[in-house]
Parts: sequence; structure tokens; C-alpha cells
Amino acid sequence: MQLIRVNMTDQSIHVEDMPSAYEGLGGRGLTSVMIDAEVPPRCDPLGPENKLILAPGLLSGTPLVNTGRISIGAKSPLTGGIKESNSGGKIATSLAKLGIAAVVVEGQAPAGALWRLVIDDQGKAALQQASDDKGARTYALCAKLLEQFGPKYTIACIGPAGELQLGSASIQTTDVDDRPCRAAARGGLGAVMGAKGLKAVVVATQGKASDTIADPEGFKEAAKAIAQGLQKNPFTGQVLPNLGTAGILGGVNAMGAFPSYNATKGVFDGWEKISGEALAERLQQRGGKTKHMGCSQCIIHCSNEYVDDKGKYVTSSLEYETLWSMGGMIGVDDLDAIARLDFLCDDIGLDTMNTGVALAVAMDAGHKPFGDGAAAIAMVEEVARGTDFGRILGSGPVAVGKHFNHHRVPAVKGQGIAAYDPRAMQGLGVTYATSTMGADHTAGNLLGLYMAGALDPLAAEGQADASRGAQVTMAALDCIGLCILAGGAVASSKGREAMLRLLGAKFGREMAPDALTEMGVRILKAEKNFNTRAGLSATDDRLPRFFHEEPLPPHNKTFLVSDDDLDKVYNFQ
Amino acid sequence: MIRVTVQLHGTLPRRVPAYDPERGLTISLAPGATVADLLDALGLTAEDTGVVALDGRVAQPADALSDGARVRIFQVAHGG
Repeated sequence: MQLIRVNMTDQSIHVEDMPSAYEGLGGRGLTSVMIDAEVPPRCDPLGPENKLILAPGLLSGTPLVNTGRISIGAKSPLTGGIKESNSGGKIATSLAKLGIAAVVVEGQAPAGALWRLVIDDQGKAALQQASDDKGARTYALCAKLLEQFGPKYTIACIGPAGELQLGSASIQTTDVDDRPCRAAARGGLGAVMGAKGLKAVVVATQGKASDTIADPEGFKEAAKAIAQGLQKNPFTGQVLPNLGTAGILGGVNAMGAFPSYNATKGVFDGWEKISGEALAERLQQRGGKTKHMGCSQCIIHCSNEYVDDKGKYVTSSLEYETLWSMGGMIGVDDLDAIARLDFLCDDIGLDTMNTGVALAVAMDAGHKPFGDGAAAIAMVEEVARGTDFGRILGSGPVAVGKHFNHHRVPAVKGQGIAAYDPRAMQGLGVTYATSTMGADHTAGNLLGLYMAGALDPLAAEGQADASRGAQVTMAALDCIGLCILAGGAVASSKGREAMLRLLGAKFGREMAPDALTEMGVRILKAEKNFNTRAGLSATDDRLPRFFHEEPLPPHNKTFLVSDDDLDKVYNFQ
Repeated sequence: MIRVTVQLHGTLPRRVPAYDPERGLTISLAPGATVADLLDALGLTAEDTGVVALDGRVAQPADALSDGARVRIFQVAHGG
């Protein structure tokens, strides 16, 4: 496997074999360890010293299902710390099939210059002038580029928000149907890409790098066990293909943990209008798709295609987190408005979650009323136009809170929370507070434990240990390139054994029983080391005060986990 | 006997022929019946179900059901 280093300052490109220091790493493991080793931690995230790294997972490009995940890493302009943002689509599989372990974007193009990086089916990379694409939104850009390069290419790109270098700017990736609706959304990595002067990365999908699996037969057998586990599991085999991630909305809402009206209520009055069941019914009536494959190698098919009342495509995929951030969080119970907001964010290149939380803060401050979907749409459009308010909104919830001098800003390290309130799911609060990524549910989600009754979500006890375990596991899965939704397949001891056999077959050596834990801990340690050197400390590993002071109905609990417990989460044995 | 109204979510409705999502199901149980008894009566296992919400609160398997209670049953899910 090779690294492609692209220097935007002089537009030079160097290809090198994977250095031995990075052997055995992929995805988030590679991006985080490399950033810790190569990026000056105190650098300006939007300056030439930062590096933007795109790395497919260790097992991306192999026959293992649900491994089409790309990790994109850099120092984040939003959190001031290290960031790995994860996306699906086709690009991870495509890069892996070209024998590329990572694309490392370094330096900075002269102000105003805009380039695109093209990697052809031989794995040869070249920079091309992209000044014509200045200001382009992602759907129009991808349609144009795929017409130019043909259908056997896939794209990662930024929209106007990335070019404006805003803190909520995403990097969008094209799905299996060539739409830029998959997002490495979190942490403002679109702003880093924009600061580098890079508009798009265009990658051939037909690479034929030599098979690097040491024991193909052993790999095949273990891969089959994982696939069968996913098909048999009621969540991945039934709920997700039929209702998508939206299928969890009713359960979280019933647990009083669905942050609504800027996290002032844990139950959303209009939840039945935006639930997975309501979404599926709407799509069936209109001829949309409730089951859709969004990412290469996927057998779960949790994606969907939302259509308008004339059956015309609006967006894909309408996910649980967006139904929350653009729904309950801003008091909107209109699926059409939420779908439009989802499309706009993808098209402008914005994180739907950070943007929704920013809208919620603005509404809570009295700028517009909760529930006004049209006002939300108009505000998001302002980001693309680059108005003063649009730039504030696109910079995220903390910027909006400062603008309105409003205290209730549900964010950690600058990043907005996700669709689980930390007062009704205390362990999610631990993850939000302590994750190296800022408030990030994917860093260590405990929903499964709560729903299975294995841990009381309202009590402080046990949450720190559970969050630590989940954070370690997630870091390992992000290194492997396995979709978070397929993570359940390695939750059992049988699944874990199968994953160890897969890694062993890939690398031709037996893996130790605790290899996944070791992998996860190594990654978290590198991330923590970077953050500490970047100036982040224990005081940054805290939830905003209001979570401690304002009880959340209906349980009327505050966040109860002690600072001492939070400070022990990264004490690895 | 007590009567409780049950609404099923996720893909659970597909397991009950002619389930009407508007009206739900009305189930008759012995006085003193618990949430666990209800799940038993519906043929649902721990693997099938996750949150059982009873009159707007999260219920435990040993919680007793009262006559006229409204119960919502959601499937186990993992966050993504």
C-alpha cells in the first residue's frame, strides 16, 4: 500500500511506500497516528502546516461487507483538536482497490487558487486547475465532474461552506448512485480542504491493485460469519433495511432522551410525524425508496431516497441524526422541510448536525420561532450566500451563542451534541465530554446497552467505564473501516473472534485475543497526546454548565457523572 | 382481567397479522400482570424488544400493568 502526498504550496505530488511506523494502521488509526506524528499541534488548522488525510479502512477494498468507510483526518478548526470524520459512499473502496492507504494533502495553495486532485485507474495522481468550480454547490459540481470523467469515478468535494472555511463545513462523498449525499461532516474538515485550495478529489473506481490478503480462504470464511451475523440480527437485518436509522427515533424519544427545542425537552411532541415509521409510510405513498444501498460493500441498506409529492428526488439519505437536528431540535415536525434542509446542507457542504444545533441556539435566543421550517431553510441558504449571519451560522453553535449572547449552547469543544441528551443517557454525556473529537455520538454510543436494559441510562454509576469501552471499540472499528452500524457484528465473542481471524488472514499472522483493544487504545492515546500538546486540558472535557443545572423533562434529571469520573476515562490499563 | 392497549414499533407490527397502527392492539391479561407477562403474551423475546414505554415512562419487566394502560414497544437498536 502507498501514501500519496500532495503539496498544495507547489502542487508537487510524491508517492511513497507505507512507512513501517504506520504499518497495521488504516482509517482513523492511520489519520490520527499520522497527524500526531506529523502535524504541529499548535498550528493554525487553516494554515499550511495542517494536513488533511483521507484513508480507507484497513479492510476496505476486501470482500468483507460494510467496509466502505473513509476516515478523513486533520486538526479541526472547530474543536482545536485532532479530528477524524467518517463517511461512506464509494471512495474508500476505490482508494483501497488502487493500493492507496492514504492521500495526504499538505501545504496551502496561494490565496484564491482552486485545484482538483484526480487519481486515475492506474493510481496516478495529478492536480488540475479548478477555478471554474469556484462557488459551486456539490450536486452541480459532481454532476459536471462525472460527466467529464465518466461514471467510473467517485468524488469527495466541498461546497461553498468549505470554500468560506466555516467551522461546520463538511466534505461530501458520492454514494453508489453518484450523488454527493454522504458526508464526512463533523469538525469542519471541509474548511481545512477549502483552506488548502482543494475543491475535489476525483478517484477511479476500477482499481485492480494486487490482492494483499495473505490467506484468502481463511478471510472468506470469517467474512461469511460476519455477513451472516448482520443478516440474522433483528436491528441490522430488519429494522435498518426497512426504516433506516430513523427507526431508532421512537425508542430514544420514549426514553425521554430526544433533545428537543434546543435541548430543553427530552420528548418531542411531534415525534410521530418524523419517526422512522412515518418516514417509511411517506416514502411508500410517494414512490420513494425506504431501502437503498448508499455505500459500496454494504449489505444492510439503511439508506433511503426521499421524494417530493410529485415523486421527484429531494435527498438521500434522511438519517436519524438529521431528523433530530433539523426536526425535534428546532421544533420542526414537517418531513418535507427536514428533507429540504438535509439536501441544502449536502449541497452547500455543511454538517447537518452542527448546523441544526446552531439553528436551535438561534431560535432559542429568539432570532426565529421554534418550528418555523421556512425560516430555517432561509437561514441555511444564507450560509451559501456568505452573508454575515450565514457565516456565523456556518461557524457552528458556539459562534451563534456568542452572537446572541445566549447561554444554552449544547456543544463540547465547539462541536454540537448529537441526538441523545446527556441527562437522559448519562453515558453519552461521558462520551461527548471526554472524546478527543468533541461531542460525538459515534465515538462511543451506549444506546444498545440502554435499550437492552444492561445499563441504567439515568444513573451516574457505570457510565464512565461503559463509555471508555465503547470509545476503544469504536476507534478500532474506525481503523478497520467497518461501518458503525455493522459494529454489532463484532459485539459478541463469536463476532470478535471472526474479526480477529479476518485481520490475521489479511496480514498472515495470528492476532492476539486483545488485538482490537490494543488497536483502539493506541489510537485514542495518539489522539489524546495530540490534543494535550494542542493545548486542550481536562477543563475542555466537560459538558456545558446548563446540562448540570437545568433538569430535562420528563425525567427531570441533570448530568450526574462527576468530574473525577470523566478525568479517568482515558486512564487506560 | 385487565385490558391494555399496545402499540408496536419498528418491524414488530409485521409479526401481528392485520395490525392496525392507528388503533394498536388490545390485550386482556390477568390482574397483577407485569410488562414481562405482556411480552410473553405477545410472543416477544428480549432480543426482539428494547424499550417498553408505559404511559410515557420507560418500564421495567417487573412493572405491574394497570387496567387501561397504554404501552408502546420498541425494538433494540444501536446508535449510528
